[in-house]
Amino acid sequence: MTLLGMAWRYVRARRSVSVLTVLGIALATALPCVVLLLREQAEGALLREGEGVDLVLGGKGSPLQLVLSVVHHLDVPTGNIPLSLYETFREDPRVVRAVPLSLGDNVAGFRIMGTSPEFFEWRPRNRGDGAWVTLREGRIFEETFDAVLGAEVAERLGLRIGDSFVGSHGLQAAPGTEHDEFPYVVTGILERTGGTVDRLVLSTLESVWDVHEAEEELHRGMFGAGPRADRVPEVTAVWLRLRSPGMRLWIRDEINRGTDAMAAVPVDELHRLYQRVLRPVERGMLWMAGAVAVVSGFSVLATLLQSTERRRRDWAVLRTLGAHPREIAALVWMEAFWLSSIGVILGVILAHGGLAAGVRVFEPEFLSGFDPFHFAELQGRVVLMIWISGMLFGLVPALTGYRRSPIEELSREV
Amino acid sequence: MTTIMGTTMTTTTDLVKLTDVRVTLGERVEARFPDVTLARGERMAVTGPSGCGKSTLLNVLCGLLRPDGGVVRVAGRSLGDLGAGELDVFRGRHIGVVHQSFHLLHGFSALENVMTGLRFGRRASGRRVREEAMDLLDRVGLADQAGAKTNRMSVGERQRVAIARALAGKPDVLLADEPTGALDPEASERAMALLEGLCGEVNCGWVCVTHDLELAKRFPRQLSCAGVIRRTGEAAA
Repeated sequence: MTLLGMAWRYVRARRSVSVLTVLGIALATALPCVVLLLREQAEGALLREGEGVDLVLGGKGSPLQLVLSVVHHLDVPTGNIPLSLYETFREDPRVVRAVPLSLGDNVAGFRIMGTSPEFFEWRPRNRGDGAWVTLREGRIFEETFDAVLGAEVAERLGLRIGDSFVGSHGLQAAPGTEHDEFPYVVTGILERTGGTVDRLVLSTLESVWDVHEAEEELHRGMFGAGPRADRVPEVTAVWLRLRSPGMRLWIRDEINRGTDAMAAVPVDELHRLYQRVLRPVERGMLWMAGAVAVVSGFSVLATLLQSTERRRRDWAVLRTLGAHPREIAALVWMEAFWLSSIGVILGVILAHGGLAAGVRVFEPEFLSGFDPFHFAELQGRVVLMIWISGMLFGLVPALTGYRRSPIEELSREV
Repeated sequence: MTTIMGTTMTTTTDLVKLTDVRVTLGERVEARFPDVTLARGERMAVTGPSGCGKSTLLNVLCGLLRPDGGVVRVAGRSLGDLGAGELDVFRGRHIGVVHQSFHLLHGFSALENVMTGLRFGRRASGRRVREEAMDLLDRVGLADQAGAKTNRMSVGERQRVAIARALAGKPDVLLADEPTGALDPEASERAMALLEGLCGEVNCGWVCVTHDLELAKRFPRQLSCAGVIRRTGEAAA
């Protein structure tokens, strides 16, 4: 019988206390793992999307809001800009590619975005010259109400090529606001990208304009507003890919000096968001996780110290049988080894399993393409730290076992 | 050197030898033990009323209590020369102890308790340990209860597990403290017969502490501890 085996029997002998201790360690492990996994993947997802676009043009307002609304599709747009601005930049020699985007409606909460065929030829800077979206089946839009679905939209709504659907007014699902007179027809479905495009419905700019023109007509009829002024075609935003990333600030400042539109560099805005808001939150959570880890270490200590009192007799018996004090210390320490090892393994399973379940249930939009079974960069080090700290705390009762004299316990019995 | 049951035994004439042993028990109270020798295979009962120093003598013999004076030699080694850890290992290898209240390990099965005796006594490991422990349990009539937790066994069965564990390491000396104290007459007779048989096979010296004079009569030698404890300065009886 090995010492490790004996230690395991002792762990099992006081089952309820051991289970609670293991759960404590598991939670202490799971918490920082979840924080690290969410941080790494959320940061990765946000920046990955952001780095793909050099510059975004949109209505005047908050630059961060503009980026989050037309790159990540997490916020409402800042306003519209004239289509002519898009046409100007398309011809600008400093611009490699320009893509117009127009938002307004949704289908079951998935945004319908009007754009041009150039959207499919977009080459994000951080992915070299590779295509960023590919068609899994069908073709891109040709007619006004043709629609290309992101992989998740097609999967969740059960739509196939040739199916038709209608959009609802606004960016959030709201029953009773459907535009029944403008049905879209699915002509293509995209491969899954793990990005926000999975959750988009792509159609022509004209489809968005037509729907909203009809809506405005309706409002005018209902509220008796005056005759319609000549409209200037508008878009929500324009994505720009520049000849060189070094031109970003130059063009941004040039646009921001004017009154027609605002420009934002997505990667700068996201870094700012991270540094000012998310980083302190993340740091606070990691400190909290660290505190929980220390508390779990103390729970190992408390468990072992509590059993120390009951175990003195056994230690004395083992010494009588020929166990060296070092072996008694090792035996006690190995209990800490078992508790810590099972605790951290369970904690890692809990973290990944919990995230997998959480993502499935809550479907957070900002974690599109989230992989709950991915291992975060610092995760191994954190788990190792908790494992080692649990075993270090186990040294205290081990030392007690080493020093305890068997005669005190057995003198009245032998 | 002699080989018995596959184990090499020390054949020193005096397996156990106590010379001028004195233990301070409190302020101005001490125990002065008569010089004692025990040869291999020899059996001796230690008798006397409660509190007369019988248990103290057993503590001294197994090295749990270090005397304040005198020499204790077991299997050719002076226990006073051994450090704490060395003494524990030496005890495991040469001395078997049967406690009055058995002191079995809770949460462990009968088999695991006996294996513990082999693990620390003989420093044995591997599959042979299990086989030997099973063999011993068979000898004490508990083979069918090898997997049973000892806290669910009867007093008599626990005593037999304790005996098997004490003799698992094939010790040179067996120290038994009131080995039948908690047993009914029938179980008591069975335990004694078992101890006599197994000690005979191992050919170990056997020191048995008892206050039962009838039981003591089964031993060829008897040592009374009466008058061992005295106030310091009193003359020896």
